[in-house]
Amino acid sequence: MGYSKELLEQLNYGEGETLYGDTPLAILKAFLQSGVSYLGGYPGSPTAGLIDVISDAYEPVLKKKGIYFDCSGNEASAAALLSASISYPMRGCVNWKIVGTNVASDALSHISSSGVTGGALIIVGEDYGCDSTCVAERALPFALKSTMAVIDPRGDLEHVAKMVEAGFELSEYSNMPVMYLLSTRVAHIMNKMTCRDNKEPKISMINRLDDLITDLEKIPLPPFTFDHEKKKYHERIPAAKRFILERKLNEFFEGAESSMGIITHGMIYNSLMRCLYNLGEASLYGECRVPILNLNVTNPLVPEEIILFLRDKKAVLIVEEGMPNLMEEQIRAIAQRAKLGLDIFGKDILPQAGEYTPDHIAKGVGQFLLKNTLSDYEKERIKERSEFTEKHKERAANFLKQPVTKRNPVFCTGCPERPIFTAIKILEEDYGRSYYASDIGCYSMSGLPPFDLSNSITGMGIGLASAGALSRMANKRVISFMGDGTFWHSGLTSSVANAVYNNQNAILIILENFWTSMTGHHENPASGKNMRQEGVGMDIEKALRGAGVRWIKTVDPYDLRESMEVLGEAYEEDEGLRVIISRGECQLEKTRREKIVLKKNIKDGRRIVQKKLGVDPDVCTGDHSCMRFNGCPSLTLKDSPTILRDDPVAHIEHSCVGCGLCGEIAHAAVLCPSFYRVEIIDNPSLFDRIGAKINRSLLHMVSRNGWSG
Amino acid sequence: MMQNKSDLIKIFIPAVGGQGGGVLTEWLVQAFFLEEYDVQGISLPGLSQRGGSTVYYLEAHPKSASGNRQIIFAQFPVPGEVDVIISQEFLELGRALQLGYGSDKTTIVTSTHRVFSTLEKMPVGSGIYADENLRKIASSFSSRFIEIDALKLSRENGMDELAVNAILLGAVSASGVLPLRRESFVESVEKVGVSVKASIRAFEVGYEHVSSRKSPDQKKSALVWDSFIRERADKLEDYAREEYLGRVSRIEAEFPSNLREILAESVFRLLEYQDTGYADEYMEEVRAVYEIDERSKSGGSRLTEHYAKNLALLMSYEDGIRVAELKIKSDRFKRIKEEMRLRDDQVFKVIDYLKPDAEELYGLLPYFLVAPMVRFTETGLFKKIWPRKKPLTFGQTPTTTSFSGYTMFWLLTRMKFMRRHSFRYRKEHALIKKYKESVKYYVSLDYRVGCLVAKSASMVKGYGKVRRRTMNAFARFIDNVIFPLAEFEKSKRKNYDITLEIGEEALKLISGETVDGIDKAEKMAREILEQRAA
Repeated sequence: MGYSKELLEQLNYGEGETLYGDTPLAILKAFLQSGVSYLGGYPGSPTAGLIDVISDAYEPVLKKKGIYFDCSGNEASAAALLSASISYPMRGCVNWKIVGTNVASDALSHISSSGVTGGALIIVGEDYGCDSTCVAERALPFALKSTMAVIDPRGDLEHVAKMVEAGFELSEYSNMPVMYLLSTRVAHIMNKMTCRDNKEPKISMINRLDDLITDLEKIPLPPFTFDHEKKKYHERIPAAKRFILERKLNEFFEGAESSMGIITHGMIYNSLMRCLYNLGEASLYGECRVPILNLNVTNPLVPEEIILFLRDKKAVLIVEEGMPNLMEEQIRAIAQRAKLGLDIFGKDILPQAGEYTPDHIAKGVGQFLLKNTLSDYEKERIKERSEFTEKHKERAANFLKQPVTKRNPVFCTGCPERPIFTAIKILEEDYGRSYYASDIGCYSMSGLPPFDLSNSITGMGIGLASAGALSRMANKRVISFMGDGTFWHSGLTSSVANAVYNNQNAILIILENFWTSMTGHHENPASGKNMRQEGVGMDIEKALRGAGVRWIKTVDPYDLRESMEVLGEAYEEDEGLRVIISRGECQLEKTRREKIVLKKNIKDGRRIVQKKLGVDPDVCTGDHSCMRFNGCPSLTLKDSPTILRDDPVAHIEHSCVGCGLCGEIAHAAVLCPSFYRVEIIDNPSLFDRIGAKINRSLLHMVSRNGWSG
Repeated sequence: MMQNKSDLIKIFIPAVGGQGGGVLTEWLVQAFFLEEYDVQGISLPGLSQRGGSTVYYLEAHPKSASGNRQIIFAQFPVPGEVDVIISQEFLELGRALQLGYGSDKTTIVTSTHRVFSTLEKMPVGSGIYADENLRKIASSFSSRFIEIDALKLSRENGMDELAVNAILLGAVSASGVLPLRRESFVESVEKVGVSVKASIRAFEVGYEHVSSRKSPDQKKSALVWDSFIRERADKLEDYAREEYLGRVSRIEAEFPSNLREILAESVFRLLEYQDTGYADEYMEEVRAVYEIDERSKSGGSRLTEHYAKNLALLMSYEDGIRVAELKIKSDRFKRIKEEMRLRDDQVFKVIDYLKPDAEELYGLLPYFLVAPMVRFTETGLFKKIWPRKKPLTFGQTPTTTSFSGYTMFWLLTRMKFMRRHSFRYRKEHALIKKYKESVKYYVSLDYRVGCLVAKSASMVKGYGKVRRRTMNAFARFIDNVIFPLAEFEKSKRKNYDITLEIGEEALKLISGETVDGIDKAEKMAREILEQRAA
């Protein structure tokens, strides 16, 4: 979709003006207000929007200010970009999704060892609810082991932007890189915020550096590594703590019930407040009977601040989302060291797993409130309120005897990746099942109905490598899928080079669709241009040859027969690495681009031929075999035209883009004669029209039934 | 205790990824801004956008009520606390309600059209989730339930599928569930700037529909008998029309109203398929079974209903002749033009995907010619000469709208006179005979088992290998599931409850999404018998 000119123009707003937009736009505005010099990142949910807005704003805004935008090859490259801030006072920010932190972690360890001079911010898409392809894990442990500060903002657009600015300052003040957690819901807020003036970057593509510093002490090699270690714990962390206290980055909210307290963090504050509001303990404006300490910085914790909050309290609840609950353990240790002797509750009464939504924590929070002295009347009320949601959910969940059918995501209409899975599915009838090592991308959905072609997903770029042992130890063919984005992310080295080096007996199918589609159509090295819209050509086949792959074939995915033949050859070969490149542009992107041209051409009177597929409802008997090989959104069901048949028949909706796969399937899997293709000619030529006329009169002769085509 | 009656409005929007829920959310956000509200909209992207279930969430609070204090918005809806659900698709409404987002304080505005999920499409039988369940949960978990078929409305007004969004927005505005003026909605659509003109038109369609209080769409209005007959009679040639109408008046005289349409449709189908004699044979059979229904104490005609439907379908099995006839029927091209939304200034071609296998082709030939050949192919000698495992198939893609393509189909239809002597006819009618006999036998044991058997033949469908597989599954279902169970209960003088229960269960397995349903069904029957025998 992209950001419109009007939205992007708001990036130039000054002090006091009101910006309307979503979280990525607000964050980019905060970058500009912080005088950032460079940006980078690798797209993934929920931070993909950030890459979108940066790349859309590059030409009209960023480039003019001399801000560099690195279309990072993967998260490790993005993290390495922050090296620029080690010795020079320039601010930079990179971003990626939570699991990207694993890829980036080598670079992060080194940079955080050296320490930074300019503010270095890492925006990590914290996705503990697992709304995208990721595992349930937190960024906090990474920060703890590499000594980085962590900012976790409340769910409020203006606050999100404010904390970005604070993050750069904290980083500069403490010489630590700062992780900034952007959770899924917070990453997708639409709201307004009040702006401040933008700052020009000190160092930029316009104001370049003249001298470069050679400072061995900044390089993590012995003996300096040990100095880094000392600095981390004796200088940087104490500095960060001072900064957090001085700038009051964490928020304290007073409450009448001074013997109790709740400590929470980031967006969980919003969930907690809604939970307390529903329990009748808080107002919508954040006034609450129980005092609350909300940590916007979750590492390092400031013992003085914690002790101040805990002192004189009898019971405190720590509402911390996710495991390991490092904050809770630290707070317990702080309390113990200070010999405070109060009751601390946390994961013992709150759920250990799962996203902390207001209803998920209601029971635990209610239990905590009940533990303290309250009147019987109040007790009864809290108990009833805190259990209400649970009971309501249970009643709703059990209301329908037959639960509502699941709806899994599917490959889009006309997707070039689907036909390969169809081919493999049809071939299973002859060759049996193989071991399918999947990877991260749209094609991860091959594991879902109707294909069910996935035995493993191990991480990005390592699907093929994950089958290394099995390709020698199982009597099954190994087939791995990989997209072009994933190939250039790390697949070439981690999977392909590894397979050639080990002479792995496997088939690798590279789905080259020229876009990183799953994250919302980002350019990748296969696109022919980068995200700054500069032309770059990178050739997968040449890279494969260079890596020593001998067996390489390229197929057109829409030619099902060809794909099946080539797959069959690869199946029969049974030796070494066979790579099949299935080349077809992402249909969404292609249609989006071509629709405009097509409309114009038709309007201009050019002869245009378009294709659409259809099903004859009276020929279809409704056995739905076609559905089990396909899963196209536009191939669906409708009532049979005859009242004799109770089951629905197949039907193709107008959204069909005419890729022809369903017809090909009817052929390749020998299904039925129900499918047909219509070729529609707009602005037909004289030849077309005369031909059609002659044809019509001939047909009329044969049929004698007033043929009206 | 703090007061928690407030002016906070919580709106939950379930949708199917790709329906444009983000735009709908933005319209609402802007409309609230225009009326001086604090608002927070949340959209959820990710993998869920690829046609999966997805949700959007909105909270709004009037500035006038907050006295300049900042609202702490929540990013998650809370089950039982949602004020308004605006659902872009009917099944997704059901999912939202099943998760508890509806309650007695919720107003629901939903489109009732369905986007079928993959799991609903895959089963051999019907896997479509029942609308009545969705209506039931919607009326139990709401204070007000407003339903419109926004997709139908969009089609009736010549708009595309994405108009569903704006139609719903119009419905929301007209229903008054949100404290916003109509002008604010319109202005917000203009402000957001996504296909403004079309969206405002769609908004108005939705608005008019709800404000003029058109009643919700009735389920398929009962077909009017007369036009039902006329529609069919008109499609027949003159002499056949007379014959047809004569038979229809006999049906009217002899059968109750609930069977009339089924029988009239069947007779029409068989007349078109073969000839009057063939249709009469069918009627004879149905009459015999209807007598059983009349004699039975149940008083209904359930047995005849299943039997009449399935016998007609079995007798009009889809062979090459039938397919050719359907492919060149003149109303086919009319239908295609309508479905593809073709204009008269466009020229179009229709290309068919055909791939008959060998049996479908030689099956058309006379039995006495083919049978010896087929017997030969089953010998060891033949398998030595022709070691091919896969059946021989003949793929072609004729242009049916061209003279040559059309003529090919037309010539095929001329083979009708040979049909009753063909190899395929014998094979199909062997199965039909088995069906007839089984129904009569099992109904003599128990009426309900008879009905089950009568119903079960609907599993026979498809072409080529699929048809052979389903024919085989039907025979195995009768022989290996129903027969042993019924015999067992007969010998124990039981009341056939096990046969019924396991038989129904087996039918579910067979019409499931995998092709080995019959294997599972047989195994289940075997296990039950062993268990009972022990």
